[in-house]
Amino acid sequence: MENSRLEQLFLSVQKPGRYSGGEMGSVYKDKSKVDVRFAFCFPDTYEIGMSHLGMKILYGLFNERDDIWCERVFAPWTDFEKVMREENIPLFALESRDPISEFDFIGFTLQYELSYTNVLNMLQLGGIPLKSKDRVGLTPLVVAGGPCACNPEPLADFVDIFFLGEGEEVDLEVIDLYKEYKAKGGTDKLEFLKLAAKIDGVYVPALYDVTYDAEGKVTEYIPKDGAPKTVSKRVMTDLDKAYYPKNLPVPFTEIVHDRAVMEIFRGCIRGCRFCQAGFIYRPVREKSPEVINREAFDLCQSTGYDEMSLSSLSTSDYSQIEPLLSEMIEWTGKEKISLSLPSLRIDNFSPELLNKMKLIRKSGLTFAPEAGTQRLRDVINKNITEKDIMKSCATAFAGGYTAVKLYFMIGLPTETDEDIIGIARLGQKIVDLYYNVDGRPKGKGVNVSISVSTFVPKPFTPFQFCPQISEDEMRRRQQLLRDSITTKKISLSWHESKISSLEGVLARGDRRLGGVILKAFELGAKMDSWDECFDYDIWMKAFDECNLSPDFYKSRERGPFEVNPWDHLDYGVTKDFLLKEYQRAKCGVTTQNCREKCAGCGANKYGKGVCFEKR
Amino acid sequence: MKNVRLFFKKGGPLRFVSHLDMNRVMTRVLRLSKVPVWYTEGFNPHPYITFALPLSLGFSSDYEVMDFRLDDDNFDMLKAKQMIADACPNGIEVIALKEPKLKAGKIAFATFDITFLSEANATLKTLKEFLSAKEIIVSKTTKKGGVKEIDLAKKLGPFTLGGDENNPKILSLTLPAGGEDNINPKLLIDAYIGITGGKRDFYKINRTSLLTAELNKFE
Ligand code: SF4
Repeated sequence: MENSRLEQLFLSVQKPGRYSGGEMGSVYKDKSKVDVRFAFCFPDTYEIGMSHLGMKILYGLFNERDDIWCERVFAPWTDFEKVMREENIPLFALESRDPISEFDFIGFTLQYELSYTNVLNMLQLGGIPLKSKDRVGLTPLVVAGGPCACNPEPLADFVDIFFLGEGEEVDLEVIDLYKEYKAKGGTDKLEFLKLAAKIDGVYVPALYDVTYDAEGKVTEYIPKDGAPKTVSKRVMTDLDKAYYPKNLPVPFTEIVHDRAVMEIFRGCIRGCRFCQAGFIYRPVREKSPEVINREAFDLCQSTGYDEMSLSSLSTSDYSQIEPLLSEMIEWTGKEKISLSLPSLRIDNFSPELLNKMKLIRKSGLTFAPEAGTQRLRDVINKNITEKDIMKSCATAFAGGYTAVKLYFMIGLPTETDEDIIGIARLGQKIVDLYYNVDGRPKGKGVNVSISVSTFVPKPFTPFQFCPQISEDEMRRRQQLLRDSITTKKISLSWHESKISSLEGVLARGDRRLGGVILKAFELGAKMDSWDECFDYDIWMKAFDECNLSPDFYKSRERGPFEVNPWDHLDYGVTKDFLLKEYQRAKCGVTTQNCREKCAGCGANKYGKGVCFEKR
Repeated sequence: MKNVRLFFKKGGPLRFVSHLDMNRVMTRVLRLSKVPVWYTEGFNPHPYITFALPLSLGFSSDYEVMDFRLDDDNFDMLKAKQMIADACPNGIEVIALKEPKLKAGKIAFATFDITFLSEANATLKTLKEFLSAKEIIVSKTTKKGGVKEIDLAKKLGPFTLGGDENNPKILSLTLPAGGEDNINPKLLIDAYIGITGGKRDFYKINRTSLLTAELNKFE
């Protein structure tokens, strides 16, 4: 479509800046001078996708190469989707505005299960056959990566290639293979996929046959055509040498997180048993303070951002936090850049650093106890005690804070009513504490906000074997919590439990769910992570029509010998370790973190990181 | 510290950037330019930026006016202008950097060029008829959220029409602007498109200038 017409159509919908492109730092190339065009798709809105660090790293990495042009694609909001369908505008990349069907690769990043229908919607809007087997030509190749690729099976029908683990190396290896294959005159998709499957970290679902037993449980994954029996995730072993973008596309319009973000380490030493990120990104690998400071400085210089934050799963666990911050506070102060350090524990900081920290804007006071009693916190291996929380709150109240935010989960394994009531009790204790602290802000009340999410068992965690509680039970527990709170000083919020229920099914689903996702999509499901769009009835209908039961996937205990749909994928942590951790959880026994003592999870096989630190 | 005024053109992708977001964009531009800009104190220092007259989302402009402060009174203005120009994204074109002559409150009129795409169904004849009518009554939402009827015929200054019958017609007009009385040309054009049965939104508006009550250029 002619650009001027298209642009007038942007103006007929909300937030036209989502679709126009042209931001500072976005990359424009001459398409006739590149060999490979890559459409990097984030299956959600511009505002969410542009807040995502991983996408920016890969965008920069790909575009550093003269022979590749990587462009960005986001899911249009429903208003513009309607216009696109009415006016026959195929889904286009922001930079060139070319339809995604013209690209060599269409790559999705899978950050959450509820974006799966958006993947299908984006392919359909691009005029691309949804199923891998219906795309007969070599291109466009539909590829996907990101955390959800650790159980890619529900999307196996639609995606040609999954990248497991960190993408920086494997993505380029596949792109190079593609270039080579095309240069030799190759045109056969299956032949190319077979070659790609030989690359470490590449999973080609079409090269595996799956067998099921009478109940529907997977019995075996049978590799074909020389595909490996297990596929291992890729891990960047030296983050100091890994690519980090010097420049980023900087949105003109407001997005969710609009600031320079600096990654300081990958992985997490903690091993909280519910947390998928804590297991699939193992082992912990850190960047050195020098590299972080240099890269962060360069990033601020090139983007013009006046705000920066550090990214990791748990900033306080960075082993050299003192030297890092003490230098960072110096230069950000000089450059008038405000540094945000969310949920940083400062208990052990030196007086000098504490003094410097005064120059930094205080962020809110937040804790994630996740469970209401010490017993349950031991079960989930969440290493935070009531005493820790009380101590930090007392200091904070004396220092002028009047609000605390607490994060909890409901539906954790072994949870009893006592644990639920414990959440309310902890909140009440903090309220009481406030009125007993000398030096609290005069004449001001306290607000404790409690945010509750539903526990969803995820693959590659010790709780991958657990049943997820039913929606009715969920509602009963929510009501119990509501009834247990007797003061207006505590405010309560939660996520829609039906959404969590679906998330649970998709997270541990098998290949047969492809049919359900497709059916739900055909019935109108999309933007499922948005409360205003989510329609549970559609999904239930889709399950019905496919003769599958959500409970089969989420509500039963999975035995130690059951073949999980992700068991042929290797993310470093062994199934034996996960089973052992599950047993310890049931007994309420905690496991020390990686710095205290190696728990033998298996991730030391990558030969780098925390596993080799001196303890 | 000294007050300075930047004049620039806004178009391209910046057309889709709202007035509110422009603040963020220009803050970054100033930072990237490395011009010694005066910053506010506190945890979140930022330059003190004001725009003379907001521009509606979707409009381009040949004459945007933005005030900010330089920290160094003696900094070479030509050099500063060039540094800012180099830091601007595609879609912002710096015209001049000067010391302000008038207060922003002195703006009384704005001039616009309106280009119709074919979907708008505009013809020279119907445009002329529409604009020459004795009364052009439209409803306008007031600041308080109510709706009132106004007669645009009384507000409309001299206008000219360009192009021929079959090509995009360019309508140039003058409307009251600023704090006292502000008329968005969309009000007028949407009323016209309503009559022609054309497709809404299929016209482009470019703000060409800002004028004082005496119809002098606002500087
Ligand atoms: S091998 Fe040991 S130290 Fe390494 S990640 Fe696993 S538990 Fe932690």
